[in-house]
This record gives sequence, structure tokens and C-alpha cells, in this order.
Amino acid sequence: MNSLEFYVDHLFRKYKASIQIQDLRFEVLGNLEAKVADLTANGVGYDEAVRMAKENLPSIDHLIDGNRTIYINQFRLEYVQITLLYMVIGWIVAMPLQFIRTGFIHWLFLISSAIIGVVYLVLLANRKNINMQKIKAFNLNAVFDLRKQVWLVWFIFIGMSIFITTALQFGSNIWFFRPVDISGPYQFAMIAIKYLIPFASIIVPVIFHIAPKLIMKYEVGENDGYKE
Amino acid sequence: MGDNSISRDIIRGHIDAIILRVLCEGDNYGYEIIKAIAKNSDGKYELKEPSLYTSLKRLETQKLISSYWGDESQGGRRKYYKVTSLGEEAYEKSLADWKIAKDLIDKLIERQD
Repeated sequence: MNSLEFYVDHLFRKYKASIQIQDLRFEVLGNLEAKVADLTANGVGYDEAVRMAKENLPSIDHLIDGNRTIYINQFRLEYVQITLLYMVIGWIVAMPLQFIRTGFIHWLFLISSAIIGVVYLVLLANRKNINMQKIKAFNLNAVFDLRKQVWLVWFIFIGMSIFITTALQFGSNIWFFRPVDISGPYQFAMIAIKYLIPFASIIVPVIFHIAPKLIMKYEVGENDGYKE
Repeated sequence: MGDNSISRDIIRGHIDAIILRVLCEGDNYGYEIIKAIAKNSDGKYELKEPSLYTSLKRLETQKLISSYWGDESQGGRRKYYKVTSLGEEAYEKSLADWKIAKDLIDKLIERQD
């Protein structure tokens, strides 16, 4: 394998070998070889020609279907900010729960908010020291797939927890055909809370849900990322 | 002129038409397209590879060009591009649009003493 092939393999290392990507790989390699052949025919040394050819094509990320090049640090800052906001909202919503001995959710949100808050403050404080123009490629299709999978897992989790709560709560009533006895509004509330607690975990898919939109928001314009 | 950023910005907006013009003169592959553009500009403009691939991909998606693999006996495989009839129409339209814009900009910028 010559050094050009090695370089092209390196450019494509992240991507699965689909037919389109293989095509693109061959095309890129063919063009780089043509360039090197042309330069060497005009008296440039081989190593220098290879170096010049590589220099012109530092990345192929923007050519992959679904890939979006984004300003990664700007994206990260806003993503952390939104996550923090959701955690604080979760904490406020969960506040009443601490009075009925299910305060752990309230604490979970509070601790998460504190941790994410610190991360956010550190990012904010370092804003001037980090390169806000730094770019990175994300595959939007993969992010959408991940989002779908996270929602699916969450729905399964909710389904399971409703089933388990029902089994624990009313299993014997169903098994022995005993009538359900809810003696008052407090008991009813306790049962309702048992069902509702797992729904606090909706914060996880919600946070995944906003990622694609943010990626699109911080996308680099077609020519912004390259110096002509 | 090679370092003039304004002219580069203007050219950048017309890369698709510039590539279509090269392909209207005959089927061609990536590196030769870059060379043809450099030659058409008397060596004053060099299209960078990332812009070339982006533009070719866009033109192909819009069905203005089509591609096929060359049958080189040696060396790397070359992907050739061919302008479609839709692409020829698009080229003629870009050319007409550009002429109108050029006249207009001349009128707007050049002083009439």
C-alpha cells in the first residue's frame, strides 16, 4: 500500500464501507494519484507531490451523506445549558414529592443540576480560552437513530414499570379475585405516585431529543469551514 | 488578483456554473476539472478539492450531471462526470443570469464621469 492509499484509508477510517463510500474512496484516491502523477511529471519530487496532494484535502467528513459539520464548542455550551435548564425544571416539578417520602427523585434532579451547573460555569468561564470556531463532523442520521432507540428503550422501561407496579399493588387482588380497596384520597395519591415516579425519567429521552435540532443550528455553512 | 478575497467570494457563488462549463466541453474527472478551471483562469484561480467534491455531489443530486467509471488499465480508478440535458439548460441559464448581474454591477459600481 503506498502512502496515498494509506492517507485515503485514514480519511475514511470512521466510515462503514457502504457502496457509496467505497465509490467516494476510489474517486478521491484516483484524483490524488492523478495529481501526484501530474506534479511529478512537472518536476516536483514524489514525496513533495504527495505532501501537496494531501494538504489540499485535509478531510472528507463533509462529503458523507448525513454528515453535518458543526461548531462543536458552541454546540456543547448550548447543549449543556439546555440540559441544565431541564434538570432545574425537573427539580422544581419533583419538589412536592419530598413531602411524601419519595424525595430521592427530587435529590437526583438537584444533584444533577448542581453537577451540570458546575460544568456549564466552567465552560462559560473558559469561553475566551477555547476556540469557539472549532469544527467537528456529526452524522445526523446516526443521531436521529440514537434518539429513536433511546425513546424505544424508555417506552419499554415505562411499560415494564407500569406492569411491575400493577403486579405488586394489585397482583393479589387479581389472583384471589378480591376487590381493590382504596380507603381515601391519600391512599389514592400514594398509588398514583407509584405509577408516576418512573415518568421522571422522561428527562433522558427529552435531552436526546433536542440533539439533532441543535446540531442543525450550529452547522457550519458550506464554505465557512474551509479556507479557499 | 489571486489574493483578492472579494473576487474569491464572488467566484465561490458560481462554482457550479464554472464546473458545468468545463463539463459542457467534454466529460471529465475530478483532478482534470480542477486543472481545466486553473487553465481557464490563466492560473489565477485554483479550485480546492473539498469545494469540488461538494459541488459535484450537489450537481449530481440535482441531476445536472451524471457519472461513470473510466476504464483505466493502470493507476487509480477515475470517476468521470457527464453533463445531462438538464445540466446544459442550467448552464445556459446561469450564463444569462451572470451576464445580467455583471452589467448591473458595472452600472452600479463604475462612476459615469
